[in-house]
Amino acid sequence: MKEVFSMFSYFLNFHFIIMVFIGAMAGMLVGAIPGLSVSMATALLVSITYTWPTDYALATIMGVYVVGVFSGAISAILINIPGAPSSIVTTLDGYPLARKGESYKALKYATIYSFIGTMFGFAALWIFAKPISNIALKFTPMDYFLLAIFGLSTVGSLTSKSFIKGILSALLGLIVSMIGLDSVMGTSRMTLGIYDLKAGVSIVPALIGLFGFSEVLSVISKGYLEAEASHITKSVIKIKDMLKYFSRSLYYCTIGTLVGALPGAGGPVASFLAYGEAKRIVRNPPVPFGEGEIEGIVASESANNACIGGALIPMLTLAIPGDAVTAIILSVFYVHGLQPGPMFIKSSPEMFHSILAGGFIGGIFLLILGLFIGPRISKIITVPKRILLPLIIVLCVVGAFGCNNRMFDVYLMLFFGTLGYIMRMRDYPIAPMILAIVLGGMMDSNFRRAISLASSEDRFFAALFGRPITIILLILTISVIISNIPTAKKKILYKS
Amino acid sequence: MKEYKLKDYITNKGIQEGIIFFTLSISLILYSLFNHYNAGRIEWRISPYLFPLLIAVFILPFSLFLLHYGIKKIKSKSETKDKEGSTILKTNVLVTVALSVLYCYFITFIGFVPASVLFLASLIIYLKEKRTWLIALISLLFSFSIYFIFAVLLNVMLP
Repeated sequence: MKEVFSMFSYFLNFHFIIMVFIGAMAGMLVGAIPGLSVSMATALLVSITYTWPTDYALATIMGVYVVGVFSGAISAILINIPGAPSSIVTTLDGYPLARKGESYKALKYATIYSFIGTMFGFAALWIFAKPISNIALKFTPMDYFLLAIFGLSTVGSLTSKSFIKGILSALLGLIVSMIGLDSVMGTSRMTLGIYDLKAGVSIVPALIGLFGFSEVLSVISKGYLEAEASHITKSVIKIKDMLKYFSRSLYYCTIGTLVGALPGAGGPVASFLAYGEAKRIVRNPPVPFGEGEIEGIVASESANNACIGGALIPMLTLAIPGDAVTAIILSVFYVHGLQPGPMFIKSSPEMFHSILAGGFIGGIFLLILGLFIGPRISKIITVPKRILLPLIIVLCVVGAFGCNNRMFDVYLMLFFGTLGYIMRMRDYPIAPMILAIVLGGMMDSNFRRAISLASSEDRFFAALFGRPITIILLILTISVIISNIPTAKKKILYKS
Repeated sequence: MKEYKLKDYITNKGIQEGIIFFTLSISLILYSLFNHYNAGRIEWRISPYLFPLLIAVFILPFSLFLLHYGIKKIKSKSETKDKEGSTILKTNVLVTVALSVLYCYFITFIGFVPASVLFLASLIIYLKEKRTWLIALISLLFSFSIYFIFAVLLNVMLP
């Protein structure tokens, strides 16, 4: 009971609420503007909040994190450029809806279910922090490796008509992730003698290039440079219709929270898995998935926002960040002299409660800003493309430079943008490549760690695949791959 | 028996992509093997070249499948038409990429704001916006706003 009072006391702290609001407004802007990322904004906040009291710093960062993850959906819906990797899936159904003139409806559903996802995630963080971290602790390196393969194969099968092209896109991303110093031995790999590549390919320029610049080129190549005819028209959506997806959204939230709790597999994997589940559960949707089905937005947005609470679980209890933003939040803890880990909740309960309160209040601001400010930001699509596209290129340049303050990243962004454009023209999906770039390093180190550990055992294969969690993940991965082999796919379709 | 011209094979997308991925795979296998054996006494299980080798081995069958698929398409004459659009639109893409590269190149010499103003004005003109006042207003206002928000308000470094 004391814990509950301690957490809710922040709801009466005016300064604390203002700090969350400032963060929420900043998150709304950086998330909605293509080329600016939540991780970049959070990184900036680390230096700005250095002298602030810790709970105020955490309040602002929680506001940016919660609303920034949501507002990535605004640009995903309106201009088909996800503001954050976790909003990639939202583009699949959000943008087709916007093209049909129903962007207001798409935004409203995205807001409501992002709010539900956020509340679910933070409630889960509050209730299940300890038990979930205990499960995550039992994962071996091979489990992490298989989980990443499972994520990549699911993404490959979901985002392209051709599974082979999806997988090749992921493999290309893995090659990119191998560039730079290897994390185990410190050996320089595939740098082609370029000094700036020694640090590897940063995710931010690659993301901005593949999603921002390539989208600009793609639109230019299609020649549609006039203003979008579809204006935002407000429509009344009944609460009954709105909450039609509520029960299933809890399932997507559960996926999001669980995936978020696993280090490395953050929002993008969560939303892809939830989207895959939505496609599996809803067999006959009113609108096909990928063409503007609301369930697709519900699945993606519930899962990626629920992921926030999940990602904080290993960060707070194990000091292992779940994604890029939690990695930056971890540095805020160290800057303020806090020590996350198994003892954190016991030793600093007030900080744990300030994070929870920041998350819950951030969720409320998400709802308010999403419903009232979100549709107004949507006016961006009425700007003629011949004016909007050059502005997006400038933002892409600023965003790519901002991650490391070096021009090399800007050129990398241009390279990935051109590559992304060629891939789009040839029907290769971009999403598996980005996910592979994010997960590649983790996959490499865990694979080698798993092989090293198993080779010291008497029974090599039993040591690698003998554990129940590993067996389950292996079966899941193999079943995804087999179900996408053309012959097997035909048989499944024939049976259904 | 029908004869297939060399042009049919060269212009086929499946064959083009198959050759690219096949070359990538073989190069990566050779790169991994060469570097691993040159790195001294490192066991494969901890070698930094194990994972690249694994990826290359995975790419190989997929590249062969693309080649097979391309040849099959030529024989069935069902190769779909290029969806890249007209030459003018392709030129638009090339010009946009070239202008963007020039923009990045000139930023380091003349600074962010002047380079952005020039880039925005030239690209908007190229994309056939005719209202001169609007071009000038957007180029100047946007470049200075970005500078003010990032460099002045947030103390973020600009290129």
